[in-house]
Amino acid sequence: MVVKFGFCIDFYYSFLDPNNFCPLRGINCFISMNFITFHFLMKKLQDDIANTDLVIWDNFRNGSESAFKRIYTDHYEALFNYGVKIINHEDLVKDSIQELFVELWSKKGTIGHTNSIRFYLLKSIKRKIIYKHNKNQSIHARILGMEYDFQLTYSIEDKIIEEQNAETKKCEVAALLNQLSKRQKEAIYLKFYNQLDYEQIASVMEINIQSVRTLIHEALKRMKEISQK
Amino acid sequence: MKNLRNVDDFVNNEQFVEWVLRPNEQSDQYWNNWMTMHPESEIEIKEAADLVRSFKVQEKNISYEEIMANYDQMAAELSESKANQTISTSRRQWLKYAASILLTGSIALAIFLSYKGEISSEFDQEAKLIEKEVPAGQKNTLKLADGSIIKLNAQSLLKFPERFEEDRRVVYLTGEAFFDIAEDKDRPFIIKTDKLETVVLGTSFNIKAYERDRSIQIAVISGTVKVQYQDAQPISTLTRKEMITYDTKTDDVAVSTFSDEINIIGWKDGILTFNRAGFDLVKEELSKWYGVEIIVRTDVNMGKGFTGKFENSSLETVLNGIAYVGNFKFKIDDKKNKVIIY
Repeated sequence: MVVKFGFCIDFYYSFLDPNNFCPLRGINCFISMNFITFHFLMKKLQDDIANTDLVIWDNFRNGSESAFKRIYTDHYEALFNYGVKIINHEDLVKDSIQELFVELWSKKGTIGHTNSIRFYLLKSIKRKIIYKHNKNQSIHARILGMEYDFQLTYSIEDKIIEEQNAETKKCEVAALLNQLSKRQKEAIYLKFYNQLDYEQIASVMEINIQSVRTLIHEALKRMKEISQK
Repeated sequence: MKNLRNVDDFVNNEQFVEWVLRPNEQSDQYWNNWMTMHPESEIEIKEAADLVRSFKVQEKNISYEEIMANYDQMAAELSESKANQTISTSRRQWLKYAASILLTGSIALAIFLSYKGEISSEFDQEAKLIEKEVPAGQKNTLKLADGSIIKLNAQSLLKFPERFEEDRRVVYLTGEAFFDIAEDKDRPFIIKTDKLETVVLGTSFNIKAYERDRSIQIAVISGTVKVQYQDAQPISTLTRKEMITYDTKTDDVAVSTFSDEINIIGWKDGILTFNRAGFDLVKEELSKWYGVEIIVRTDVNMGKGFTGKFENSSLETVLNGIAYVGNFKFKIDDKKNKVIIY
C-alpha cells in the first residue's frame, strides 16, 4: 500500500516540480521509500494546497484574520500600482484600498469562492476608485462606463538600445509605445504584471474574450516592431 | 516545465515574463539554469525577453512596513465600524417600517440602501441576472428596483440584476425597448447591446438592437445619452430628438435627427407604422407584432413600398390595408397562428 502511494505522489510531483523528476527514477525510488518519506511528501502536498488562493480566500471568508491580513499584504502593492494608472491620485487610491478591505471584511459571509484573489481584487478596486472619483466631480467630469484612462510610465531599458544616440532612440521608442491604445496598455499590463488569463482580463475590463485576444495580439505586434528597432 | 519552443511560448509563460520584468534571486537562478540546459533556445529567449522588456513600466515599491502600517490603520477602522453596527441594526428595523409608510418611497429607499444591509451584489463575482423575454406577438413593461420603467417590444430579451450595484446600474438588451430611466446622479445607467454601450443618467429613449438586424438604433426622446463602444471609445452624445444608427457589419455610424416620434416609439402605445416598407419588411414586422407565421404562395409587388399607420388594430385590419396595395389575398388560420398569402 505504502509503495503504491509513494509512486503516485512521486509521479504527481514530476509534473508539478519544475526540476522535473523523471518518472522512471520514481519507480526506482519508491522501492527505497518508507513511511517517513511518504508523510513528508503528504505534508508538502498539504502545504502547497494551503497556499493556493482558493484556500486562503475560503479561510478569510470563514473569518480568519490571518488569512485576511495575508491577502492585504500580498496584494496591496499590485492594487496600488493598478489603481494609480486609472486615476493618478495616490491618496484616492490608498483610501479606496482601505475602504475595499473594510467592506470585504464586513461582507465576508456573503462573498463567493475565487481561485484568483488578484483577479477578484483588481476588478473590485477599479470600480471603487472610479466610483470615489466620480463622487467628487461635476457631471461633466465623471468617468462613465469604460472611458477611464490608463496611464503608464515606461522605463525603457538601456539594453534594448545599444546605439550612440541612446536618448533620441529612447524618445522614439517611448513615442511608439504610447501609440498603444489605453485599452491595449491595460490588457498587456494585466497579463504581464498580474498574470491574469484572458477570461479574467475580459472580466476586469468588462469586454468579451475575443476583444481581449485582439487587444493583446495587436499590442504584441506593435511591441515586436518596437523591440526590433 | 511545459515545452518552450518559440517566442510566443516564452511570452505566454507567466514565470518567464515575471522574471524578465521583475527578476529576483530565485528566478534568476532558475532561468539561468534553464538556459544552460537549453542552449538551442538562445535566440528565441533573447527575442522574447526583448519583446517583454519593451513593456517594462515604472512601478512603485511599497515597503512591507508601510503596508503593515496601512493594514493596522484599516483594522482600526474596522473595529470602529463594528461598534457602530449594533446601533444600526435597530435603526434598520425602524427604517423598514418607514419605507413602507412613506409615500415618497425613493427617499426612504436611499437611506435604507446606505446601510448596505442586504446588498452584497457589489462584491459577488457572478451577478445573478434575471431574464425577461418577450415572445413575438407581445409587449411587456417592467419596473426595475430603481424605479426605471422599461417597455420591451416583441422578440426582445432584457437581462438585469435583482439588485443594482452601488456604483452603477447595468442591463443587457437584445431586441427593442423603450427606456424611462429614473434619475440617480451617483449611478449611471448602462445598457449593453452587443458591441455598444449606452450610458445615461436619467432620461427617456428607445433602443432597437435586434440580432437579425444589421443595425442598432438608439433614439432619444428626452434627456441625454452617451453611446460608446464596449471598450469605451466614445461614439456620440445624443440629446432630444437625435438618433444614432450603427451598422454592426461595417461599423458605420450615422447621427441624425427625427421629427416623427411615432415612427420610433409608437410601438409602445400599440401604433404600428410602415414607411415605404417592402414586402419582406412588412412580413417580418407582422410576424413579430402578432406572433404569426406568414406563408407566401404568390409573388407580391409592393411598388414604392407600403406606408401606413395602425393604432391597436387587429391583424385582419392591417392585412386588409396592405393587401389592397400589394394586390394579394390572405387567409388567417387563428388556431395555428398562420397567415397564408396567395
